[in-house]
Amino acid sequence: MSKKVSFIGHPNVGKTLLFNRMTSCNHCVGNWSGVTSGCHQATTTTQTNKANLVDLPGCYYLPDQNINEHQPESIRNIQQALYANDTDLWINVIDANALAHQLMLTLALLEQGRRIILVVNRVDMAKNKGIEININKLSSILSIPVVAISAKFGTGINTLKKALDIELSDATQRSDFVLRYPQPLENIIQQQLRENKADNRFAAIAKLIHDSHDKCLPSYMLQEGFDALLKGCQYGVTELTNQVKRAEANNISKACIAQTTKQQQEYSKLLDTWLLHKWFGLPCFFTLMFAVFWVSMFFGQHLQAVLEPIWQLLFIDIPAWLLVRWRAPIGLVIVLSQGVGMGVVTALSFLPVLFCVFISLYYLEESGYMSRAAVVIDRVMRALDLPGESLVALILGFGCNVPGVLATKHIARKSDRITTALMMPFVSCSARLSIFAVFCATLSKHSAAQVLFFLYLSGMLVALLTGYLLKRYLLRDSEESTTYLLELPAYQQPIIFEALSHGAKRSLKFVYDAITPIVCVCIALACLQHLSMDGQFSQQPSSASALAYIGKMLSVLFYPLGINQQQWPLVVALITGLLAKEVTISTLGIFYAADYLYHDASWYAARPLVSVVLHAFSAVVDGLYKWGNIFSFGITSVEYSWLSPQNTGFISEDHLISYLLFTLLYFPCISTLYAIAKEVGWFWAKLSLIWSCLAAYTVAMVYLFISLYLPWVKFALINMLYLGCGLGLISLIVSKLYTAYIDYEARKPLVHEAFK
Amino acid sequence: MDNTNTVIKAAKVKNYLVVGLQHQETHMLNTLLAMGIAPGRSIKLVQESPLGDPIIIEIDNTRWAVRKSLWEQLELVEQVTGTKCGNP
Repeated sequence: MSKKVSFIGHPNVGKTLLFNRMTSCNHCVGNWSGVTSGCHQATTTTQTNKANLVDLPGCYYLPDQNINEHQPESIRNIQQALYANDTDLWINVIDANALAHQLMLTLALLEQGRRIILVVNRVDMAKNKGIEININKLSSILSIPVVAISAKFGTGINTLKKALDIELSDATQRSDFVLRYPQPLENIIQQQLRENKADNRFAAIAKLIHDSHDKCLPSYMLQEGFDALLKGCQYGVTELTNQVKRAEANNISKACIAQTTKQQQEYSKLLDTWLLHKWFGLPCFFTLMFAVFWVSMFFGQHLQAVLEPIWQLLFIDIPAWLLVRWRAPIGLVIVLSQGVGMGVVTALSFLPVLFCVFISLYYLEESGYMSRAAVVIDRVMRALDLPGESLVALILGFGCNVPGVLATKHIARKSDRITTALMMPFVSCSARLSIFAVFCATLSKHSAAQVLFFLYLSGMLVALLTGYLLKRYLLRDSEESTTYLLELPAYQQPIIFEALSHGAKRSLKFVYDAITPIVCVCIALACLQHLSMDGQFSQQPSSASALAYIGKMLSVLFYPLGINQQQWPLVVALITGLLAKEVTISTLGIFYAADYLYHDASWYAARPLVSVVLHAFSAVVDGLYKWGNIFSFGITSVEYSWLSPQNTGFISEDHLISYLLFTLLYFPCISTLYAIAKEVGWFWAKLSLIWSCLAAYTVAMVYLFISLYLPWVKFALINMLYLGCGLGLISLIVSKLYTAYIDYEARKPLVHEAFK
Repeated sequence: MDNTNTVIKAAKVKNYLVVGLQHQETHMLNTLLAMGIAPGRSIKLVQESPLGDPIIIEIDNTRWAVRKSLWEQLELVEQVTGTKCGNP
């Protein structure tokens, strides 16, 4: 029978990393507190035993049995694990660099009479700092097995497994270490235990704390001297026991630590001085964010340009060629190549970008900067009651919404995670930028830039509105956010190999999970595009297809947005845009210019396989050439002559802008939707879907209405917007200068004080 | 004693002695005590963050970011500079 072993310890001591090492799981880890908020479970086998390992979120103190409404979700999870009493053995993970601080939790666990293995993690880091820990002495003082490991480098894991095996085989061994309290308190605890009013010392103390809450002590506590003992403590027994534990933990750590040198400690502090500097902090933040963004988007997309032709060859061209050669029915060719093949290629197209995003995120987290980033922008995000981490996710969303949504995993509170994920679809991603760029190219140069700015801004405004509404009405938190405490971990150097494997594992996992829904949507779209209303498959999408028919029907709905029935290809493009927003343009190309994205059967039939392969490789070479201009950040807008107003039928610029607004907001593409569902659940994904469609329709309609019938309102609004931005910027600068002045003034009296 | 601590805007690190916590709610009290913010102990105010609000404090060589709203709830007495921060 497998035995239950749970991990417990302070946040960010490496519990999850150790858990991953022992179970070959791949749960999210990061160099900051609160990465794990739920519980993970997995089994592992030691030599003679089978253990069911449970990874718990980190906690600074051991909660008692009483449920408290202010407790966060993580503490409640720990309570459940602690008082379900089904855990055979606890692995208490502590950080070698903060031994005295973290031993308090160990002492509390021992007080509860639990069987524990103490794991001292990060011994490598401690060694670099010149801290040597005498493991044997620690073990003999506490009379529990102690193992020194480095979860990062994987050292000591085998020793831990052996210790685990021994402990699991012999369930009788218990520590005989007892933490003695000052006499009057000790007497009361002993009395409680004698009278069977509490199971263990911890429970006895918890009962004391609970009973002595109202400053009026019950009769059993009226021991001689106890009153005097409590007098020095404002917070009664809680504070008193805490003091005793801290003193004991300090003594133990002093006895076990030999600090040889005191160097390197300052290295982390020096970095903080600059990265959290009053003036350089924000520029540092934006530079680093830009670096992450650049690596993930430009690097990822250039990688994608090389890889995509290969995937198209493997999943679309070769199957299509084979099927055409075998004279398969045209319907089958389309379903397999345009449906299944296209779906696989779409899902795989996220791989390079996600890979790069996860690697850069891993670097941000593991280095320890992520928690600093959260601190730097905490004040900005507080207006929405969101943590700083969500801005990092939203910034990533400008590249592609999918990694943005997946980055919300690191946000501790569930409500914040949901809000950020639901704000994400309104952040204008680079796929949408490509649509805007193409359409704006048909406008004059001056208004193109303005329109682009307006679109980005309106996306952000809707995102902010979404966040505000969600926080205000749907996700009201009981925990107030004013009690904001974040431990700043020491900076450390991430391991390159770990970063690569982490990036590969996480991106592959998303692609693997997302492939089925994407393929399903692709098959449906391919069938609708190629099937005409009389049930015949056509080679290429045509105006007689079922999709075109649906588009014509739906165009009635778009009448308020200024789209008439002749403009049905625009509606069809919106439908195909569900797959990925950039497909919108290629769909329009099909209908307006017969510019087909993929080859038809005759193309495959006419040439040998070698020619198909060579065709793909020429595209790879083109992709390689693009690496030459990887450092150019301009938008490459392509001017399509067929996008002229005569073709598309937009009466005015305002009609076009209204359509673009709708495209920006209407539907998070299927991959984003799937990512939202995966991170925060299908309920929220569906809500996001409905809300985004509603918002898109309303915004586009209102815009068109105002610009057509109330042009002076539009004029006033736009000017107010510019004025607002300008004033905001000026007031920011003025306030900064003012605080600098106050700062300067405040220093003066300090100098006098120093002289006194 | 003045309950609202104005964060002194000097570049120098300041040491404070914790006198009281004001915060009575159990979870927060336990967390603060476990962090080492307990009456009779000293904490360091290291620096402000760039936008001024969460401030960086140091207890036992561990750094924390704390919002001013919480910081202002603590009852602190400024210690004479030059004293060593750590366990009293």
